[in-house]
Amino acid sequence: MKKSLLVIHIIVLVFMAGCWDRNELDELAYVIAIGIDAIEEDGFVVTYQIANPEEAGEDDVASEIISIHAPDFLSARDLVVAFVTREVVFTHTKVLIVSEAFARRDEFLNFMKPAIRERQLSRKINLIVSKERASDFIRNNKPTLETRPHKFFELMTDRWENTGLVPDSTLHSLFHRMEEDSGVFLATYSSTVQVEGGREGKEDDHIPGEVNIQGGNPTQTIGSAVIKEGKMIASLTGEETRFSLLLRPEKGIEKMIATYPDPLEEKYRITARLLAEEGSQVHVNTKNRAPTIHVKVPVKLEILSIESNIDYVEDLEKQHLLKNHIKTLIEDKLNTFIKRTQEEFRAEPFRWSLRARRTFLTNKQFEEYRWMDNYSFAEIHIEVDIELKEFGKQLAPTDMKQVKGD
Amino acid sequence: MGNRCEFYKNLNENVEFLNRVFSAPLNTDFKVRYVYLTSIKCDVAIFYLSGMVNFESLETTIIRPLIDKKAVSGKDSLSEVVQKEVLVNKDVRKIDCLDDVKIEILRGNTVIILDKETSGLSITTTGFEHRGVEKPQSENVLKGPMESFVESGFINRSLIRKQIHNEHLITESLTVGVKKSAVVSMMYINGIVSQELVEKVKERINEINVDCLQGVSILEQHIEERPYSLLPSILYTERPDRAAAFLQEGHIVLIMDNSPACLVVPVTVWSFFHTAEDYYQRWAFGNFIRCVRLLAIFVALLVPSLYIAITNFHVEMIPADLVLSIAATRERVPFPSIVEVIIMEMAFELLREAGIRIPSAIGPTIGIVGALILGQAAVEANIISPILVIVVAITGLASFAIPDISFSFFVRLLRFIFLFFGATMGLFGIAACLTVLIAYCSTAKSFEVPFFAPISPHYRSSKDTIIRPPLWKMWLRPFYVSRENIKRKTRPEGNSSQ
Repeated sequence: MKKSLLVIHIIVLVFMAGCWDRNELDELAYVIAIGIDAIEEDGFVVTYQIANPEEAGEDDVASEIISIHAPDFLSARDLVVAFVTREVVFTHTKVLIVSEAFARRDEFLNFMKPAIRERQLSRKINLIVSKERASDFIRNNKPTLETRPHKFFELMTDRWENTGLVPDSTLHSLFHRMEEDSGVFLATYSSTVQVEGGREGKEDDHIPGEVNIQGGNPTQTIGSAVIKEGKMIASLTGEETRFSLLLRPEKGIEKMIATYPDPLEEKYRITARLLAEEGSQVHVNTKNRAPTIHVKVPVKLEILSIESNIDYVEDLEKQHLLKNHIKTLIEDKLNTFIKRTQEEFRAEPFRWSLRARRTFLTNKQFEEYRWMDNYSFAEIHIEVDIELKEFGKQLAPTDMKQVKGD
Repeated sequence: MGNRCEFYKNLNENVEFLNRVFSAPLNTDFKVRYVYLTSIKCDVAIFYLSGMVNFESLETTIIRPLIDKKAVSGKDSLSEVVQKEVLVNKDVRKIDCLDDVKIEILRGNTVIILDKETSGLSITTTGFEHRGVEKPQSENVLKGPMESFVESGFINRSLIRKQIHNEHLITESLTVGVKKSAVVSMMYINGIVSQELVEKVKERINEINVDCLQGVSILEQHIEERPYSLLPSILYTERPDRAAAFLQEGHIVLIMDNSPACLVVPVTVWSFFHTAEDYYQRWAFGNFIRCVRLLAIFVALLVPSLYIAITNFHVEMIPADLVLSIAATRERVPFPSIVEVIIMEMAFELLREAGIRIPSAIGPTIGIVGALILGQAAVEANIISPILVIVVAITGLASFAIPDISFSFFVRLLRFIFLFFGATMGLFGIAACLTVLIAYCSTAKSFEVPFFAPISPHYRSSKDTIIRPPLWKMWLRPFYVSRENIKRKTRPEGNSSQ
């Protein structure tokens, strides 16, 4: 009798302790993307893109997009009850999209803070700054290859990080950078509105909206938004983003394709794949007020095409020439970019502060050194260490005379 | 009827007494045959139960010599003379108590009583009908012996002796119960087995107080330590080679008539999880199938509860694609997912039970009906979601991969407990339940041997637990069974890691 009473008590206890936050999968609405816009008065427009679990057929839409005025992007969740009958959850949210206009305002970081506290929001969520209003971005974004929006965002963040055209911009790293207060944070920069006529330029020298493309999804994601002390201050092109990733001490990009002018015939270009198999070697000297920084960037090059038909492969002298040519080209570009960070941003996106911090015994000493302020006066030496790795499947260039049959 | 130990002087009185004991005219199986022994001019009565004796051996080794024998030369008592000079049977024993005659007859022996003698002779003529040695039913292997035990204790012992040629292999016969009609053969190898263990098993068997004991599966329930526990503590195997392997590690094997299997005591959790095949296959292959089976145990135990816990409490653990497709398929399902799981599990258990009970002539239909009901129809009728069919099917499949029947039941029943905690408290409940389970199992013992030995408590051993080393490295006998003669052979030289 006593035993059965005990058993009943335990069972009741289990039921009372559990169950109450149980939800069936199909009773939830999964927010895939959250968009935030500031409007002129004291308020914000929050946009939710909610996935439609039913297979996207002829009549079905893959997602529902709802915009609503709300004091912050989490409390909007309860307000959408007016439109959505299910409980809105953020468990599968992939991206947080902020309009550039809002990102440039002072209250931007404060508005982002609930994201740390909310349990459902993963820290792996990517932050995207859109040139236009975030609600427009979400509405304009129509992936053609992926039927479901979350797939698009998932692949997007994976793929773009590989090419180095956009930075790794998770919420986690944003808060990390902001707490550190020693450098700028690079957020993914994107747009769905193409600038009229586009802009002439090399393959990666663009900011979103400037790439000339025809057809496909209007979304262009290239380059990054520079966020300093919780506020967007500038933007970087794709090329500059690549440089900032290349100069980081930890390995950032795996490979990227870039073109360089031919050293012997100026009108032709040489296409190469850049492999950064290890991070840059950064040595920081903080003995003086103005730090001295030595950076060695090991890069491996895979030559993909040589338009000019000059034999750089078998002629070692020309090969040496090509190597030095590319080396100076990259070094020049790096130096210009570093200058820009020192003068315009007055902070670095290279995470060199991690190396600088090592030179101090305590974190307090590092904080007193005020790395961010001193960076603008730093003396920086860049050395690119190029290794020509391979020249593809073909060695000598094709003899064009033979091809044309002369 | 009454009990009487002393024989009557008069043969007829003895016959009358036995007739009374066996309700003779009524009981047509009790036979009395009279023979006149010409050599010593004496009447002899032969008693047996028809159906329990082998008639051929009865005729050729008892009746014919009794009739044919012309002269005897011995000077001992008549019984001795008959035993030594007349009977040609391999096994003859003198009985001095009339009550023992009853027991001997009941065991299938033939008893002869001579006129004016106060003792009888019991001659082994037992001859029951039984199957021939066939392939094992539930412990199949691809590589290795295909013999299994049959319903005859004699043949079962012979199957074991065939494997172990060892003068120390002992068979002790223990009688069980009030009427002492059931015999349990306890086999062990002297010098390896621990004497304490032998005494303990004997004591347990002596404590059994029943009229009749039908076989080892009943015996198992009489001698096990925790009758209410789900956890089995005795191994039931139908493979003589497995029994022999256990004997050589110092375990005790119990054999009875009428059971196509034997019991092995004591056991550890590893015995329930190992199969004979693990040793017959080469090292890598044997370990691979072991890993598959280990996985099967956890799949069978946890998958339904994990599914419920994750989909109901921890949605963020599922990739977005899967969440959406599960949500889409669940859209038109009327029940909460826990009800779905219970419906499917019940259907599967029904199918399983029906599959065993169904007459074999209509057996194949069960597959068709089951596959249709469980698989397609239920999904099409929107009663359950397709992913659940996968969950239940994989659980069912995994539970079939557990080699031991008792252990399989253990896992099948625990699954529902896990399901309950998973559905009420999510992963926290499952983790708590698993902790309690492991704690419980680690305190369980089978004849004083801890259930998780030699891992917990840790002993020096051959490391034949989750995976096994190559056979030549397994040179230690398990300590935890017996501390005597722990080395199988000398430590291997050369590239041994021991």
